[in-house]
Amino acid sequence: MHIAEGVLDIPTLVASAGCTTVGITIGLRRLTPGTLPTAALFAAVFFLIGTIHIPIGVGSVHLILNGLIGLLLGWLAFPVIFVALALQALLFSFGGFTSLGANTLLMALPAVIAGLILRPLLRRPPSSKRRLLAVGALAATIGILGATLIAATMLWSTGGETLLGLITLVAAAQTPVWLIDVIVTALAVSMLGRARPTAFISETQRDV
Amino acid sequence: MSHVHHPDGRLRLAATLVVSIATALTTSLASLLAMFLIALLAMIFKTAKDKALITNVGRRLFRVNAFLLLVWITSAITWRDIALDEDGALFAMQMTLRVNIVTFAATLLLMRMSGVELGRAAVGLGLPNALGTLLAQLVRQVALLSETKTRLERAMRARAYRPAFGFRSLHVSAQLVAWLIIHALARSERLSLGLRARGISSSRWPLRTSTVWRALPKSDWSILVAVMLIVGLCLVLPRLGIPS
Repeated sequence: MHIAEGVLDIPTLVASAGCTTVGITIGLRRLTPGTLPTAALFAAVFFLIGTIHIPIGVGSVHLILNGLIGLLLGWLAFPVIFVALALQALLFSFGGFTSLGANTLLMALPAVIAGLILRPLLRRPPSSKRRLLAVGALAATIGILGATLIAATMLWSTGGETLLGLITLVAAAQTPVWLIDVIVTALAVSMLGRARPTAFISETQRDV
Repeated sequence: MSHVHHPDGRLRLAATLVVSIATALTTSLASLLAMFLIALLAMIFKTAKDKALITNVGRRLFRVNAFLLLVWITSAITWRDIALDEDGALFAMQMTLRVNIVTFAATLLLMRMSGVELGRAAVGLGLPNALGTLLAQLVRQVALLSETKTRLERAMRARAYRPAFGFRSLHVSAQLVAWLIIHALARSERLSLGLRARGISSSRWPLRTSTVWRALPKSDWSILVAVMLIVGLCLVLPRLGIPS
């Protein structure tokens, strides 16, 4: 889910870049030269997750999993998603450099919210499989629905009534993405929770 | 061995940002059309002899224009009366020109720029050092983790896995994601132990600094100056009496 460069107007771009700057500033406080390799590895995971495609009919959708990134990284999701999107913009022209703030905000803010709400539920391992599945599904729901809502708000603030049809279409197109993300995130959280229960502890507590 | 000089990354990135901001600021069709034609001509000139570049640019253009097609379908046509909505069409036209100008400009100006160079250029333009270092490290980790991903996918194919829409595909994709994260965690622990074992506990961000601005050759500056002149001229077109 990227908003291409040239779509949003200047006030929307400036406002979203401002919000992203705040998020990145908070995220960078948790980033030290010691935690840098871990953050870069998770940014690489987020980047590579975007290349996993699930076929649907004649087309396919790619995974987003911003909810899962939020569960793993909390506020660090802002800088991590920012750099991953910057690299995607450079290599594949997904999004762009002036819309980087907007795209980071719509991916990272729901991720952080999912992390803040749901990570406490995973702090005391061992979690039951049912709890892990539920937390994963909820994280994906917050991630995708939040991103859709923010994207719709940005498009509305740019085009108002003119873009109402487009907003409806974009929101409808996210339904299969949401369903796929819910299933994949739930299963991935369940597998991670059993194989590496410490994966979901706070990034400042993680031994790096 | 030939050595091809690429202009300084900061100037190329700044020129790309100038184009992006200028297109976002103007609503004049004359200005946007002039910028689009110049960008298109420059792109044709650059790609004329490079088949690989044509494919690359074609793919990028297809991606952005597929989205723009949706904008035209949903905004420029009143489906109840099957008629053209003039305001919607104007909006869609502006958006189409903007998106294509920026795609051409970014492709032309940032051609062959690596992720590490992008990080250094962004830091040179004021991005925090930590983010530039993170971007540089990301490039390295993507290369390593994509090898892991390729190995995992090969192992999946060896077990007769074929991606299709169904629960099996989603389950296998979730396994792939979980494995990637586990590999990333294990690798980060190894890296951390390796750094500690070598007694490295630096508090500095290890990013190579850029050349000082004054030391840059004039030919490098000419790119930014040329882009600013072209964009400036296109922006004043409506004031010269050309209808928008």
